[in-house]
Amino acid sequence: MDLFHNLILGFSISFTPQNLLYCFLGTLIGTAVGVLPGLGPVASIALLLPVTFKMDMASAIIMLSGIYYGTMYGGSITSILVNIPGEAASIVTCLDGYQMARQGRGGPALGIAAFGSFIAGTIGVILLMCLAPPLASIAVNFGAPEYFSMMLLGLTLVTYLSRQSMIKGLIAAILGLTLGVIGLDPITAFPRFTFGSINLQDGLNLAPLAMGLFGLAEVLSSVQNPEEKLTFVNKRSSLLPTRQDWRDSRWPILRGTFLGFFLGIPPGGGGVIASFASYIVERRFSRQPEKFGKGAIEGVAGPESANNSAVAGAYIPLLTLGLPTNAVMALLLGSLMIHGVQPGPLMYQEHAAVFWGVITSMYIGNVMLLILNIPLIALFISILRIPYSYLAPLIVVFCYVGAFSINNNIADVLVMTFFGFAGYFLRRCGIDTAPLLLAFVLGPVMETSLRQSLTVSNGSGMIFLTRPVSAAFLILAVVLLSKPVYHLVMKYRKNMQTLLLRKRANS
Amino acid sequence: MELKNRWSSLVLFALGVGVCLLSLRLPFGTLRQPREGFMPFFLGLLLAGLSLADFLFAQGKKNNHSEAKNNYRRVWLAGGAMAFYALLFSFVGYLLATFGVILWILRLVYRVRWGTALLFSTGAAGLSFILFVYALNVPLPPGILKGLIR
Repeated sequence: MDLFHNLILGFSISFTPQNLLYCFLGTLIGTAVGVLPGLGPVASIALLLPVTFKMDMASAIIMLSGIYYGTMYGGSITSILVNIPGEAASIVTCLDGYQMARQGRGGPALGIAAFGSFIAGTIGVILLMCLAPPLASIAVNFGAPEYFSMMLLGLTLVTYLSRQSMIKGLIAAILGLTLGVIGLDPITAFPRFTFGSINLQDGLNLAPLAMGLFGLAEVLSSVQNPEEKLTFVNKRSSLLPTRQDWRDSRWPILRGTFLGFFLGIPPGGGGVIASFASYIVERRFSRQPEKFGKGAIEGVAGPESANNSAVAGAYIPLLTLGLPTNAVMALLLGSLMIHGVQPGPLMYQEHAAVFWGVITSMYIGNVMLLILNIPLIALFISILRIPYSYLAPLIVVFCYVGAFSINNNIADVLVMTFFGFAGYFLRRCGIDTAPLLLAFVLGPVMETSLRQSLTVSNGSGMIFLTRPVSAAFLILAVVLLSKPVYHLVMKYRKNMQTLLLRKRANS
Repeated sequence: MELKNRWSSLVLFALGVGVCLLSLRLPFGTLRQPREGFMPFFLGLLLAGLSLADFLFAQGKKNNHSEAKNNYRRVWLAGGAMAFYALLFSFVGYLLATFGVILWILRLVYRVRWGTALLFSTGAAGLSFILFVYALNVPLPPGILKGLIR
């Protein structure tokens, strides 16, 4: 009954014309900004934060939240259409979304991303309302060993994404972790691999890295085989998902929703791990796993749902413990504090109106996102009608502007260009760059957790096995890693047996 | 085994060894108190090991990749355009550099007609400048046109 009353209170706050307008503006700005590569949710919220200072508390958070999930969807538009992830959580959408667009199925891909995001966002909000307090207490018990094991499992899972061999997937992950090391040490602030450059002291920025590895590398790869791009432009099908698409996507959407929500709760997780994990799960569940990476709609539906419900999950530690789990949440925390609200266990009682107003506005935001984006699919798809010879230089220009605008620094542009060439080289070598990018994101947290765990345990690796959650993650990672080795051994034995039989037959 | 695979494995192996050597110049610490060089050293070691494994596993695999379609001249031209764009972006300024890079890609990489290429480059550079600088307030470098714009 309490929940029902709280919901009514929340809707009475968020349904005011003023807050509805702010919610709409937030989702609109978020989607528009998410489409531009480089300007992710962090940059757009940071830019618009001062605008909200004069608003009342609930309106400010409602608008900023709208920007957050608007950017999440906007990021997937560029991932699907031009293979440039708008932000980290959309990286995995590139894998199948872009392939669908190449096959002329960009419309269904965008449609299922929008519907999946809506369904996941809605269920996520319901879960947030019901499960916030108990889940927050579980998440807060995660220590450094659990984080390390969780990240290790995440990376192990990601190597399965590699469209080539697992070794190449692991190489990509190690490369990403190594790139994550560049900059000041996360514990002692000692410079590592900076070669005396001030620009490298802050480490490499995710956006230039992603735009280089995906955007510029894509342009370089496509100028090599222009015929492929012609077929891509010439094929077009329906704008919305078909009945078969829905049948293929319903379970991935549901699985992605629940997976994303729970993975969104622990700090460091969020949409990135959620979307990757969902992709892996869908590939495992699929009867035709070979379709993945070649335009499987399940590869778009699951991850897109997961990254959206992870947004709802990420609100749990923020609203109930005052713990921001990612940069966007940190900005939202800052905004709440500027308005005199201290998020934490007492927020329920002290600022019930803001708490429930924000939660219900997320639901309204999801509806707005759907209303806003479904009619726009035709417009987004028209991008594909531009011949690639004209689209390619525009992608280059947008990538460069995106990289430059992060810090107004030419160093980011140079970094992006370098990784454009590196991405092209890695593609030519058959190394998938998606695991690299995920490892780059997880690397600093993983290293800090490893070093903290070893310091706490006096150098004993047993700390990872004596804690049940950590041990479970590690065992799963080892099982996954040993699977290809097992297959290799079995294949070798089979080959040897065949050889022996042939020899016997000959003799 | 494909030649490019062999070369890429060797390049990555060298990179792994390089990371190991560079991390040895950092404080390594102990297992009880791991320091700055701890993680990079093992990452370098893993990278070198995996590259070596990739090199060995790929031995004997048949080359099934067709190089017939590949057009490296276009890649060099597009890559050159990107490199020049990065170098000239702040020096020459956004407007001129963007005009140049679009024209380069259209004309040299895709062989678009001169008139169309010139028209598209001028329009795209000008419109994007208005969008980013005046509508979105992105402070793009004016370069040598500093006195003329803004």
